[in-house]
Amino acid sequence: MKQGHVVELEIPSAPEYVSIVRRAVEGLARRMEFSEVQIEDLKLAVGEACTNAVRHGCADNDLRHIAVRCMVMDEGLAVEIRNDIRDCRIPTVPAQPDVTREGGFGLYLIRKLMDEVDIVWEPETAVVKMLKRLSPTAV
Amino acid sequence: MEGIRLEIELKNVDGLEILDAAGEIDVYTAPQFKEAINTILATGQKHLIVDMSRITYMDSSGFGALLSATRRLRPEGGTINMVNVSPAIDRILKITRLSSVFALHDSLDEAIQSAK
Repeated sequence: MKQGHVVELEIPSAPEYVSIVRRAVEGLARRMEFSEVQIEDLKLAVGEACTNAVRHGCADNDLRHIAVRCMVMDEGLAVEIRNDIRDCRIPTVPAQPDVTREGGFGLYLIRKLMDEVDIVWEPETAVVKMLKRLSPTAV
Repeated sequence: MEGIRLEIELKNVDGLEILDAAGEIDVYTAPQFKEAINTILATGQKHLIVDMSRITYMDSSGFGALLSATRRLRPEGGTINMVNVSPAIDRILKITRLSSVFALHDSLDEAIQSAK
């Protein structure tokens, strides 16, 4: 695999397709020789980002899609999850999740497990950009 | 694809209903997991025991289902008991500090004894 190689995937914004993205990212990460712990981190972070897109996509039709873009880099694997939004508030990432409540774990875990995370909130699109380095700096 | 679905079996051991699950718990399968939890809680059992030996993946959707059960059981002195979680899930429980909310056990016997 070479620096700059891109793997793109588009799925309907529906729960049953999220595992397909996890498997694609797992396959890439294995080829790139990430460690088992790093592969689990990538699967979980990407799964949480897709889950947020499915749950909070806020679009109003059945034709919503989630675009996933994975880029092979010398330093690691960059993943972008992009989805349409309508009238959504910018999410806040808790410093520590509230273990007495059901929500708030997804973004917290993404921040914890990935080395770089950038959430881009545009008028009609949300993009979660993540990087997992082959030499880890995350937890 | 192996493990992509969630298979759930409720089994009675020593008078306790045990939730035995296999596969992945995510945004798609969490409703099924939550339904099984609710089936056990509806019996009036105070302590929930989930055999996680064959769960290969669990994300915040699964944690949410367990936290929902915690909210119902805690006022009655009940507990959530997870048996044989994988190293990957154990790591996430520690990162989120959910390991302080759920009781983790190395064997089903140990979980059953603690629930009696």
